[in-house]
Amino acid sequence: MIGLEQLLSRRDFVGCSAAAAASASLSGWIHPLAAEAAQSTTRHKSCVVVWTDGGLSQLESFDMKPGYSLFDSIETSLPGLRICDRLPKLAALMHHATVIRTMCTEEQSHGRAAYLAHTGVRRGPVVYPSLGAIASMELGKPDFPLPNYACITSLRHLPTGSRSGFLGPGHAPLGLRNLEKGIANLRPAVQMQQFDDRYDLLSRLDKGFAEDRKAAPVAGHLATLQRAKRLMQSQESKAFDLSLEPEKSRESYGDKYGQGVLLARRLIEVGVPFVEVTVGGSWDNHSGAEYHERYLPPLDMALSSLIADLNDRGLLDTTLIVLMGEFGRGGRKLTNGSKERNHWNRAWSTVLFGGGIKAGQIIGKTDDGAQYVEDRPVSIRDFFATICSILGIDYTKENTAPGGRPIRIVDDGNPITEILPAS
Amino acid sequence: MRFAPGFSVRTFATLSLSIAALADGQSGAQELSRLIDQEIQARLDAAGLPASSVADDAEFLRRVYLDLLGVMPPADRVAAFLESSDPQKRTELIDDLLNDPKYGRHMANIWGPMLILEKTFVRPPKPLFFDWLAKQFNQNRPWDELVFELLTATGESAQQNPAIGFLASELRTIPPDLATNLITTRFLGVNIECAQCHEHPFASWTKDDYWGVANFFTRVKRTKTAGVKSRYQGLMHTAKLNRVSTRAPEVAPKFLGGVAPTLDDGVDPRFVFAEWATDAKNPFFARAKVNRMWAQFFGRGLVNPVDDMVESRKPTHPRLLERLTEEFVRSGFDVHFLVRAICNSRTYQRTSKVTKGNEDDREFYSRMPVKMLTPEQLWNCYEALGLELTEIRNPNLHADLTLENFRTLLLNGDEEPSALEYKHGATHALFFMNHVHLASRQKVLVRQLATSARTPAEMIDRLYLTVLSRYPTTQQRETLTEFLQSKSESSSEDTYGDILWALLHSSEFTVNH
Repeated sequence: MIGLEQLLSRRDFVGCSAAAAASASLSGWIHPLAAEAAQSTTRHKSCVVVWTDGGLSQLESFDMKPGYSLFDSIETSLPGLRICDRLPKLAALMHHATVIRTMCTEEQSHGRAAYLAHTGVRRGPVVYPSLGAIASMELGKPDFPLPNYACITSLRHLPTGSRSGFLGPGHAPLGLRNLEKGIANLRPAVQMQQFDDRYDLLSRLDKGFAEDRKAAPVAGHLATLQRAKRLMQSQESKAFDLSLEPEKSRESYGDKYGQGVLLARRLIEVGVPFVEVTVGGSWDNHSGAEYHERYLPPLDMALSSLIADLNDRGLLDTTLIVLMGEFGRGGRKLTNGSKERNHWNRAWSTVLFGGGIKAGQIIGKTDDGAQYVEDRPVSIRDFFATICSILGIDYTKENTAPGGRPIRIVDDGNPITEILPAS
Repeated sequence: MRFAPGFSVRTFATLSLSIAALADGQSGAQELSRLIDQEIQARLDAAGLPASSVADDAEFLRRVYLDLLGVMPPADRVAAFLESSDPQKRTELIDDLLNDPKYGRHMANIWGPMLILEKTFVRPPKPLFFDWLAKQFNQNRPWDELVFELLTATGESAQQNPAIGFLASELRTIPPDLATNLITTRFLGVNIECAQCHEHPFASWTKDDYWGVANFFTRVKRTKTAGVKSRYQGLMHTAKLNRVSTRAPEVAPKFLGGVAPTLDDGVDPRFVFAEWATDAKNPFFARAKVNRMWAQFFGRGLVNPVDDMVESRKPTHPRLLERLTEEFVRSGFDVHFLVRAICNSRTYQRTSKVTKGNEDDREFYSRMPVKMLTPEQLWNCYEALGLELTEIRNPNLHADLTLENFRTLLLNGDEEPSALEYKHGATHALFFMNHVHLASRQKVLVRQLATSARTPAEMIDRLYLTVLSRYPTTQQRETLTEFLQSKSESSSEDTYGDILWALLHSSEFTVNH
């Protein structure tokens, strides 16, 4: 429990837990919010990025190639598409998906590639905002009590590139690691009234200092404190408490990574526009498919539950789910006796679900070994332009980088028009 | 560049020079301080920018403590410093701090993580290396000598020679991967990483430049000393190409932008490179160090980014950079000398407050830039207040809180702190504001301060001196008197706890101004 008794009256609190325990479908409190959100015509689009850190192998997932792939393929609900047999639940949901098989990007070391995959730009002296930070700015509401961008991960730190860069700390991701505890330290160490008094005193004592400096670190600090305080006081922060979720629902998402995906769903339901969630430990499998063997089943379980749940709640049309890592894997013909799987950025796959896209498509074609693009290369900039367009973000908009330099959200990229929702 | 074939150990001609410079260090440094101020003023005048006034004693004291020792001053030191009417007290303080062992530790905290990256797979024993670095900085080893030793370190084990930590940790795969990048960016201010695969987009570096440097470091290998654990193993020269370097392109070792020296068999090529790199005439070496030291105190370099001082990026103050570099070389690469010159300058001692007309100044130094505290500084400040972070278990991390993972927690995936950008997120703020352990330690601190305060006014002074290193303003005293009255029904311990909490979370405490 994360200290909500401070925020709610005792009765509300007990009622809430009881409802959660009794309800087989939805915990009582989240339902009205979600229903309202689903009905509202003004609901913004949302996005969940399911991140496979280290690089998901296209050969062992969505671009199966006989003679190369280490696993067998199975039919899916999308005629003509076969995917890895370790993904049976997703196979039944692929009619909601469009697969992009010809991602072709510029980086092949993890850090630089993850930066590129998050920002759409190669790493340089200026720190660029991630897609999540852009979504936070473009889709988020300033008065929304939760962060408009959350990053759920079991990695030691947030994936490289998942920062707000020159958009400032107001759009920085809320990093979440320990899911069982929800957000740590959400409860004040003193009574809420006393906390408010302290906070008010802080503002009064610090005012002069801040006004005299007009400096970014000072403004950043005060903005971050404000965000933290709003978070402490918000009703929506209950979304972070997985113990309010019915047992059955928790089970359907599986392991600890799946619980992160469940948390992502809860955040989307209360209106967070952008959530990134890491599934699996490291997918950085250099020889063979051991890690894929380990992490594909939990991915299958969690992602299929997410798609089904959002669909049930009428939120799938407004929620784009993106499955991706920083690159794919390179492999050779199995008859060569090599199970090598190296970092591979020349041709790799990403998958989109929901978000109102024209589903049921396969974009691009790779060669026999899924190593090179034969048709329709998709650059990271094309990919970003596509995602932005789906989310209703004008990717040609210019933001201002340090030094007053105007920088377009996506430079030199063209959306994959055949995927875009009918407008 | 010419090199006598077959040399193995360099004799340090600069050592005696540097001692000479030290003897005369004080006046030389003051001379250089004046030069800094002249050059800064000239650019301000040209831009028509008004400069903020000199910082008061309290602002200066806190700043110079944080910058030199990585921690704020103790309350009694603040009181004494504010009391003193000695006109030389600032200069004397700078000298005192340079002789405080915390100085070397602070410098090691800055340089250590730059030299041994967190992501390094083969971890050398970091503490040994950090301790060694701290010692070198405290002894004020001339910079050329220190870097020479890092580049050429040889030893049977990390215990026997901790300096091997730098290369031992970065030589894990093909040396160029990490070692080359670190050597050029950290010591030469040159980023040739991109040239590993293609031509540098903004400079004329080529793949040959990249592999030319890299291949000085391919004839070194880890030792296999009996009885030494693998991560403590040493580093030694090997005549043959080492195993991990066989994938490096066959480019003859070549100085950056220079010639390929003749290398005799049996000579460790690292010595040849180090000789070139740390030479007084090397066009990159001293300049890069001066630029980094400037950035350490002002949050930004005279050329930015400090890792990539390519020609196309013009310095904001070209003549100043040139003169500082000359003087630094002339001093025998004396780091204390450079620090003294910077810290005694009026430019460094300006207030961080804006004055009418300089609100938008980012690069003219019309006022002191406000810097973020580094994770190490924040850690030290908490420790100094008795709010020990080490006692915290699992603060949203997978491990107990050590300085190292506190750093990871706060940097949130970045390799280095960025001085002028606020990076903490709401979860960090929640941690500091609400963590139960910190809350209970704050109570202890309040009780402790209360023992030496007789009146509420004294208690407020103690709180301010301890947390913010100054006395409260008249207005703040009034605000607090009112606050105390409004809380007359609460226990005084609670109320002073509120005040302590408010000061600890103020932006004033959180930044170095």
